[in-house]
Amino acid sequence: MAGPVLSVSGLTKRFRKFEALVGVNLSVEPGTVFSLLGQNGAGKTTLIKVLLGILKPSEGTARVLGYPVGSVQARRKIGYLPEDHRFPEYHTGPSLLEFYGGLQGIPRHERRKRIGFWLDRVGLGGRESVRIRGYSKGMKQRIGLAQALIHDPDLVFLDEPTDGVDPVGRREIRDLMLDLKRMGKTLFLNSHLLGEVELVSDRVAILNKGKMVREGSLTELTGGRPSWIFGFAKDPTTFRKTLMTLGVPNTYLDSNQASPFHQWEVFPKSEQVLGELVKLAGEDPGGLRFLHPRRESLEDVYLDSLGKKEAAST
Amino acid sequence: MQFIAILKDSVREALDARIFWIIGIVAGILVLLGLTMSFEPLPMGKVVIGSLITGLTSNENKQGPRRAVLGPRSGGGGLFDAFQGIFRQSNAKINLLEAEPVNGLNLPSAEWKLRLELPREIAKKQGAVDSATFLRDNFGRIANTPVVAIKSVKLVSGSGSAQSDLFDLEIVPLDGFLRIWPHKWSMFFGGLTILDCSTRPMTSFDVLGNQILLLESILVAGIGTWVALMLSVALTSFFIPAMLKKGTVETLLVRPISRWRLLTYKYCGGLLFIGFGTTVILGAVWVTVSFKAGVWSQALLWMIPVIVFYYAFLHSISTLGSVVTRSAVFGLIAACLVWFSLFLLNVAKESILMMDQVAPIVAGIPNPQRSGTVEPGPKIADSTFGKVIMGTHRWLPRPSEIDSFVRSKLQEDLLLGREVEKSPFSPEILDWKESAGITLGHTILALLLACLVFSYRDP
Ligand SMILES: Nc1ncnc2c1ncn2[C@@H]1O[C@H](COP(=O)(O)OP(=O)(O)OP(=O)(O)O)[C@@H](O)[C@H]1O
Ligand SMILES: [Mg+2]
Repeated sequence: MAGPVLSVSGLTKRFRKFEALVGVNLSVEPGTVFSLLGQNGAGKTTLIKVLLGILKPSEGTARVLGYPVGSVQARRKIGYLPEDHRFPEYHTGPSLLEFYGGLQGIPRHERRKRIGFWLDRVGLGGRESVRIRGYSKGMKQRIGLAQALIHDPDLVFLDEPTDGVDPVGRREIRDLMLDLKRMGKTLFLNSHLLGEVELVSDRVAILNKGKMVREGSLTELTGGRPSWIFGFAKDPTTFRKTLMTLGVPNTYLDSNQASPFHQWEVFPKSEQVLGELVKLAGEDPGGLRFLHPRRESLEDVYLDSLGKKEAAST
Repeated sequence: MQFIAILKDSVREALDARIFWIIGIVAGILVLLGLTMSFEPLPMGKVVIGSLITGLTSNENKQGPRRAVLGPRSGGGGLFDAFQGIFRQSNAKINLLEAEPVNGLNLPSAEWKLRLELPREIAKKQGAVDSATFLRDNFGRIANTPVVAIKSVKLVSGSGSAQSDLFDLEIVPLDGFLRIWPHKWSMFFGGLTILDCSTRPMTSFDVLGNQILLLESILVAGIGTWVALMLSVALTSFFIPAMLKKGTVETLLVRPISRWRLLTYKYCGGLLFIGFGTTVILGAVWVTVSFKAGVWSQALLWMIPVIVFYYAFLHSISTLGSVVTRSAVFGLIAACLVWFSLFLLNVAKESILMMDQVAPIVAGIPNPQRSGTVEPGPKIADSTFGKVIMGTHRWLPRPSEIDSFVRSKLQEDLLLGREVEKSPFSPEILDWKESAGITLGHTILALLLACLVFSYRDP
């Protein structure tokens, strides 16, 4: 599909006087994974609900899959996993999917096939007769994923999909998300698990008190050029001198007790400078033991953009 | 398809809430109770045939409007008048000389041989060609419904006097004959006698048709309606609030279905259950009572649409209440409050009408302290208060009319024809179509409001 899957401009949502979203602008391209980060109460869920047409925006416009928000046509192609979902407890997994599939307008024979497929895919195969009442938290999350995907949507909103899921399950869900992305679906993800976000996202936005404070691709956010860590067995005297003469910014990383290595974090200005340093380090009598790039972590970016970096590290 | 999906979901919800169990248990208890009932015909053929004879001339001496024990005013020509004629012994111009069952059994199923003495002037007065034709055309009809078929009418030759002739009749019972036959009505396999006129003078309640009417109109149509309605509203009151719960409503709102449809479909789900439940329960009661009494009157089945109809109104109120407050309890309270207010309004209206009727009578009683009569004051119905009450009553649903509708249907059927019941104090006859129309209007209005709120308010 041509053009962005999601385009939002000047979106504001007020609950009485309280502004949960303030002038949010956003654009999501098809086939990408978009993650929204932010503290509790930042407005992430509110933004999703507005985009789904569950809440009405106070100001601003948004288009989803080329339709105005909330239109029935758009909803045919949207999947949604709410954060604190409460599926009717009297259903079993299959009957719940049957119900939602019916509401989505999936033909009966097709429904049957997809229900079996999705139950297996989210790891609920073999538990068909259990009622949702008897589901564990992780099982609920899994059936939630299945109901969000049963109608083969183009755009899927997942509000904390791994909430309450064990590490193995989290891995499975992450794989599922990557599979969906491979199938060309667009994912809109709300999560507090930065590691997870880092692994699956193409673009990330950070929301703070209703305002969009950062937005960009992972590389854009974590800085373009990485720094490099050089580790030596002994003090590398020639390497040190060269850093001085070439005027390459660097920091000596205090080797703590655990690490026996002498480490320098180096910020080379160009590939050429880096090449020279690598060559020199190899010849240094200090004995080069390792060399690896270092990016700013998403956590750093996140804390930084919320003005919490210092507060968190002390 | 979306409707079917929501319906199936509601069925699951109802199954989970054991609604079908409750329906089954209620129906079961009622059927069991019904099965212990018995209606035994008493050997009172002569009285029954006597009533048919009085019925022949009862349109001659119409009494003024008289409020009968069961409620309806006397409409003339019905069984009621026939019996009252007998009890008053006022116009027994036709004499029943002999009445013998052909098979010797004094039962409503028997064929009877009768000998009558018929004054000639009666046929003439009634505009018949001759007395035999008069008998053939009129005997055994109550409110124009034949209760017996006439096999033969024979003039007994050489008998009679100057004014009258003797006739031999052979009659064959039809359905209605059983209904006007006095029965002993008991419950718990005869353990509890409810009505039995073999040991006391007979009243019109001792007739089978009237007994069924009593049973059905008081127990089933009267109290039964209220209990059924309240139970239904309570049973289904949580359907919509459960759907509106945070965490549940979102999963529905994102489906490609408009909100008003979602709500209306869910509302219809409730309606279908109650329709089903009412049909099962009333159907079971109807079959049991009819089987036990041997009278299959379809009038009771009118209760089914009537209950569902009024339930639809209450359900729309509880839907509106729960959409606005998002609470099942408030929805239920709203429905009860509305129902109770309508009941009070009806009481107020009836009281005003009654006081307005009584006031001139009281005013007409001579007062020893003052000379002359007192002018009755203005009617309350004409005061502003009265007008407000009357006006509101007219334009709001009138639940008090529920059972009178069914009762009138029962009366038509079981008492073999009566006029539609009138409210004792208001002159106009109830207009069912208007009453139903107003209720339907309010139902739609409440549902519409609920849809509007649901569509335009954030969940
Ligand atoms: N229906 C509502 N009425 C009033 N305020 C609301 C409503 N929904 C959300 N809010 C407020 O809007 C703000 C944003 O809430 P939201 O649920 O979007 O946060 P969130 O970013 O999803 O948080 P979390 O990470 O805890 O899920 C909160 O301060 C919340 O109190
Ligand atoms: Mg949230």
